Amino acid sequence: MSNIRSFQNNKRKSAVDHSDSSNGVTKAKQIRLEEKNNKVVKDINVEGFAESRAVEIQALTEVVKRNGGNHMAFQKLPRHMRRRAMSHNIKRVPRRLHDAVRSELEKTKPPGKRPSRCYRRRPKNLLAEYERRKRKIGWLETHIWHAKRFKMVQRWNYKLPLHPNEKSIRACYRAVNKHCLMQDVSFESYIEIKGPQQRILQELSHLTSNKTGPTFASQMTLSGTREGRLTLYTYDGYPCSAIGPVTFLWQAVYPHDGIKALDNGSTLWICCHPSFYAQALEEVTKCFNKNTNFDSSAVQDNTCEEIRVVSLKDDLVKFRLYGPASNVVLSEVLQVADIENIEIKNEDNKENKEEPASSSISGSSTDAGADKQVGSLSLKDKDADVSAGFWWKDFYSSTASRSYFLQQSDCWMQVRKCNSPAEAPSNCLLALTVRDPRLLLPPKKTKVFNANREAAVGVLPPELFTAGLGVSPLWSAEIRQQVKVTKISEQRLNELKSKHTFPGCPLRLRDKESRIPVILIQRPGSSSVSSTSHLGYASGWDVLIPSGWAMAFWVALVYRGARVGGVREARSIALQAGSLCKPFDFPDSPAGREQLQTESEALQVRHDRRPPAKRPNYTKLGFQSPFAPQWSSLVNEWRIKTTTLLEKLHISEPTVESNKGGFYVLRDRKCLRLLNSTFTGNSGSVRSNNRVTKNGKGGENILKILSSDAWRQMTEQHLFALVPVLLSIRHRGVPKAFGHICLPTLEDFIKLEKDKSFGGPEEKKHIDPEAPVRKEERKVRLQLRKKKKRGKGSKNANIQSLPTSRDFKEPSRTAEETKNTKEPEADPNIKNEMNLRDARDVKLLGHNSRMVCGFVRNGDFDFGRGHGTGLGFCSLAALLHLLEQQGQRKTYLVLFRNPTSFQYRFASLSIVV
Amino acid sequence: MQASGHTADDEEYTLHKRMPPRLPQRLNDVYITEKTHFKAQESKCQKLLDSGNEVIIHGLGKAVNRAINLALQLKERGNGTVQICCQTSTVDLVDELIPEADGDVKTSMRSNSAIHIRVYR
Repeated sequence: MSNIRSFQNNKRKSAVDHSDSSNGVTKAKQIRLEEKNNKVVKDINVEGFAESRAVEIQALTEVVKRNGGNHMAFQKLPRHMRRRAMSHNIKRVPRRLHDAVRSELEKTKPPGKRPSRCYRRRPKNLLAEYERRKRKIGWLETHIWHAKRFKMVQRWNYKLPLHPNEKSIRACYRAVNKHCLMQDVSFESYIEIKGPQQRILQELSHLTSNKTGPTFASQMTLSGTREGRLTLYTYDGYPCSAIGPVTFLWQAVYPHDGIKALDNGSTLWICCHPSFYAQALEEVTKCFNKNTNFDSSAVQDNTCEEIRVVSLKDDLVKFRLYGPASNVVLSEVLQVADIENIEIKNEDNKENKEEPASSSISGSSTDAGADKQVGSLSLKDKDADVSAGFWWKDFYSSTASRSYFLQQSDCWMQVRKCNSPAEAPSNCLLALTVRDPRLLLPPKKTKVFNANREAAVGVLPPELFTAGLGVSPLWSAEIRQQVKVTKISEQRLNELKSKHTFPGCPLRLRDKESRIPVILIQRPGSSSVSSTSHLGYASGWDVLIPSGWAMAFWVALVYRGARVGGVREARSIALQAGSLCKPFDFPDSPAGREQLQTESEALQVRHDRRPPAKRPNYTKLGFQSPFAPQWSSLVNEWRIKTTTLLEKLHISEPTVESNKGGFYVLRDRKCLRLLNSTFTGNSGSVRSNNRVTKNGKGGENILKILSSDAWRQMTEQHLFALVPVLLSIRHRGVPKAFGHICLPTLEDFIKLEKDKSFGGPEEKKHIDPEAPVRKEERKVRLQLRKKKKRGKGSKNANIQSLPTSRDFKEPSRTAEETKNTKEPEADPNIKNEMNLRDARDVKLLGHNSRMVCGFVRNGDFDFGRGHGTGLGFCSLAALLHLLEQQGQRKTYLVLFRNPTSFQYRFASLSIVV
Repeated sequence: MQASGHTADDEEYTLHKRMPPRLPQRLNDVYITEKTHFKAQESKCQKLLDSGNEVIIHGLGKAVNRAINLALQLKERGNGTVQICCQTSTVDLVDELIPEADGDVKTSMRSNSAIHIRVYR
């Protein structure tokens, strides 16, 4: 009985009537009766009846159960059972459907009504909404300013401006070259390490290598007058496991006890890019924990033997200014504040005199009362509560600190007169305490110029740059907090402005005005000795500001005519200055790898979206992986290839197989300079002893050079290394990302010598094994289309009869199909085959007519040089071959080929040191 | 290259030349570089000369020859209408020697000759 109940209603009726009589004995009788009466059936054996129709019943139940489409349960009811407003009142639905309907209604409940725009735009609600969005992903303080004007992208856990919405590539170049471009780089955050200097240096030495240049212990940075830069590695990980490039500051040492006790306190700030910030922080904390066996996993705040590692994420704001006019722009914005304590009395008196006058004009008694309160407050301050808002009174109370302040302001007075930031000492620090930039804002946006200004007297005297320039209250967390808290709100400021006696005149708040500590850090830009771009290109200042003040300074800078760039601009500046851009140009670090992967995935998706006829066929072009460079196979294949050359040079092969199928970028300064001197004919060092290489150089000579001690050492150590190279295009062409850098053949040189305007050889068309298959498919598709036009009846039969490898249900490709039909890789089997083939037979080097020696990482047209420029990475072993091949030539040439082209182009090569 | 006595630690330092000091640039000041295309500089100067009747051409060190050459070219083109007034000076330059190891930065001063040619009608 129980199983019967689950069957459908109409069947159940008959079943209930006759179920009692169903048993084994009566079965035979029934059958007999049925046979006799033949027409009238009185009893049915329900079990048997149901069993024999089980499949149909099952199917019917399924059909009834399924609502089909977007129907609710009660919509499936027969017409006579429907009632009005069933969806509104559940009691109108038959009771047995209550549960189903209730669950359905819950699912389809509409979200609450969106509040009105008016409500949403109220400042309080808008801010709450912004706070909500910020919780998901980091925002810069200038986010809203940028969001109105820039293409915003999500990168490195921040929402960052990528590029301005206006058409501005050339304008940005001009700003860097002639005026001022700036970028908000607050996403680069600091790690603070406090403790005894010797211990810090000792532990951190594991994360760096002195082969890559000056380390944390460098004399030039220890005194706190210069910023240092280096590459971080994992613990004793040099040269294989790089983390990324960082800059660092040591807190300036105070030679007196007025401000801070010196004994054990050294503070180091390490500035990391957000793409590897977490990794660097973890590595640094681990490094200090290792020796003391501390097992604290707290990364944020870590204490061990007086060494504290603190993350200063979002505690500081950093603006990066490029270009010669950044001096003028900054000199307008950064006006040195008045820190004299003595004048307080006079000021108070003056204020008291002034205020009644203003209030009498405005005629508001409450205002005067408020001002009197403030005046009395400032009198109280002198007693004890200096820290309430006037931190500078406390900080500059000692004569020593005041003398530093004077030194700093004197220096700034001189430096700001210079025509270019590159005239200041490279990477020097200059701490300042400046006035509130909102009070100095010009009424309209202007563009400040160098011309018709006070001129610099000549070279900046070296006496100006004393040790005290780096002394800044910005190092103290308390003061940063106070500066942030005591900021006068925009609203209050506007109120004050509106009550000002002479509208339009700058406000004079005297003591009430905030004093903001900032640190200026010079960037020297490109130096003409080592790079090909012009002297001082991309030089400028980095401005460090306490958090909370970003918009005040930002708007002030913009109002002086500084153009704003985003991440894209920063990258193109780095390319034109011939320097590496983090994290893009660090392919051996995890951050760089991740960046590369996201880029190549995006390219792959873009490629797959297009129909085959509208996208390049990379198989024919001979590009095995057009979206991601195959660094490790490049390095390994070249290493195998160099064995003969090494024998010729009598160099033993590297015995230590240090890397596990990996590669790394060569950052040994000595090696890079050696390479550079050989390639460009001059070395970056003071006296270039290596100039000999260019004089009367013959084939044997180059071999001699290559087998010299320095070279031998380098090849023995770094045969797995990639070398960062800059391509300077000879004739035509612009390199693009992931293009090939190739070795030319002798024929190319012969052709080039015959014809100076020879553009470059062409790659032969490769055979695409999938082409005939696709051709067949197209044939089928056309046939099907014809059939469909004639009549749809015989379609299915035809498909089966036609010889196809894949199923075609539709005669023409839909967008979805296009997406699924990747050229040869569409079928997973085929893809696997291809991959296998790649792995087994098709090697990188033998694949094309010219041997690949590296890949382009970034390339573009260079406005400064007037031709294309590219940054790429070559295998060191390949460069050895290049030197051997072109030993007789005056200049070393390579070929490059973009992924979408058969055309090779000539380029000359220089090493990024 | 320069008259500093750092011969012992040649390999230990990288030379970084600071930007030479410059007077504030008016619109008709042209600083000549070796890297810019000569024809482009010439046409730029010619345009400035035609528009304002005065150009001041500055050349430093290696670019002195170029500056003179350019001024003479402008004079020749002017068919006798263009005159030249020439002044020489000495510019102090600073070289920074940035250590490759953990040393301190050294600076060295040197002087270089410069030329300022006023080309006018």
